[in-house]
Amino acid sequence: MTRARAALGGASPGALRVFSLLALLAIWETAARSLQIHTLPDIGAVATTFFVELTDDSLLADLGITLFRVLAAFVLAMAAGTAIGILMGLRRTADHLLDGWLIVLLNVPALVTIILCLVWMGINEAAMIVAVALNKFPNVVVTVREGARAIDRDLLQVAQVFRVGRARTFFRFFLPQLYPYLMAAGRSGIALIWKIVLVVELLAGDSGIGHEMQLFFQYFDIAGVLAYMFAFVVVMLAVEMALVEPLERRLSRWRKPA
Amino acid sequence: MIGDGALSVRIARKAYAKGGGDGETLAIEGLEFTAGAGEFLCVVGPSGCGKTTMLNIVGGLDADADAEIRFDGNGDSGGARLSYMFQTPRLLPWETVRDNVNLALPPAGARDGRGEALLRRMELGDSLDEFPNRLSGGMQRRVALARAFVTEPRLLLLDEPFVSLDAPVANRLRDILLDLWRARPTTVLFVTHDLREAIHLGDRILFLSRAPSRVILDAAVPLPRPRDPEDPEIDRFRAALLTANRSLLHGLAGAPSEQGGDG
Repeated sequence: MTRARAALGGASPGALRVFSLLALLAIWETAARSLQIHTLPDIGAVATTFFVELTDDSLLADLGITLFRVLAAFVLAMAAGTAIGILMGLRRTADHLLDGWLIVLLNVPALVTIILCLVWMGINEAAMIVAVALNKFPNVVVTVREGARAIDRDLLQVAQVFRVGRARTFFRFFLPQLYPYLMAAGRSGIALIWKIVLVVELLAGDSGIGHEMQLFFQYFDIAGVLAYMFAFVVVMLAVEMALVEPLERRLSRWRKPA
Repeated sequence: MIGDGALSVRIARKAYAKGGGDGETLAIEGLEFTAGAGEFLCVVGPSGCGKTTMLNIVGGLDADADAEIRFDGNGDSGGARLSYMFQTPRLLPWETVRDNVNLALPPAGARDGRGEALLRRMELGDSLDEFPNRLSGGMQRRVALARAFVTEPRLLLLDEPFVSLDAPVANRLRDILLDLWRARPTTVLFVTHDLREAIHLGDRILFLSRAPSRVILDAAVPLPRPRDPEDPEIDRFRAALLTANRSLLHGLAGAPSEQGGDG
């Protein structure tokens, strides 16, 4: 036990991460082999399905469509949520006026928002994207409002004294103070949004990963479900490593101690 | 008549709402003074007497006061090229030293290298691309001083800018301030609670009363420049001032009991 702890403690963070993922795969494979049931395929079966779907290019097309919807909903929710969050954080009247709506929106179940959007706007691309964005939007507002309330007004006085102008005051003095809050909202946002996109596609899509999931569900094709999930998780991990982490490093590089 | 570069301040009344309850606290009442063009005017007063409030009103940061500020005979000093060095450096932690200084300039002015030249002159040439939180407190003040001067202000406001620094670091910064002021005559309003510092730096010293503050004494500093901060004449003049105005300044600025205080 002590030796195991010593070995784990001495390992690098990367090695630990790989080890824990391999452990997960091992548990899965063991369970699949010992249970021998159709609804829990082993790794080999999922891999086969994955490569078959990959080569007949429906997987890549669906992946692209779903990614586009994730991106559109993300941008919409972040832009609108940031604008409203700043307004509510800075202006007390706006905060009092909109707070009730915000609480309602925060507590409407995702499924209800989706159904209402699809009924009122019709089953189309815009309705799907709005339905997803509406589920993330109130969280962004709450997080950004917190950041706007914590703004250091001393720094804004500096901008005022030196007459740096509205645009520079916003982008150089104000917005950087919100970056930690925007990063927090963005990170949890991507995770939440892609889950909800799948639900919307399952209900209303004629394309995308969620739509494929529905077909797999009808045929009880669990290998297909897992293969698509795997593809999407890989893409999201790549987004995290190639975009989110470098961006975060860049935005917080000034925090590094000497 | 107000001449070019001269400052005239009349603050009839400034009050703050009391925290929580109703009613208000009177911070300033009937505070009036003028500063000549290029004059180095020090303002001394006890802790909490409204010195920062006064500077904010002069600097145009506080519109909620019954006040009339004239600079160059204009309606407000904000129209002139005004600069302000705050009690803390107030640098943007996410901008480099270079950009912190350049941000004070209009976008076109930032490109002619004026900021870099001034920073080099102030021995910050090796730190242009550093972030402020990697610098010592004294260096951060130096960057703030560079930012205040880079705009070539005609009126410079300073709010106890050298408190909580070691004496040698503070003296070095005072030297830089005086050098910059001599090189390019600027009307300076320097707020401090340290009478020795005021005598070292100023042409004239205004003493403020406790809140609601007003001017209780206006004294010219007769010492020739350049002055050595360790010159015994400074202490002699300080003692003479305090003795001559014992009842007026009792327990106020510069008295030993006030040495440790802050703004």
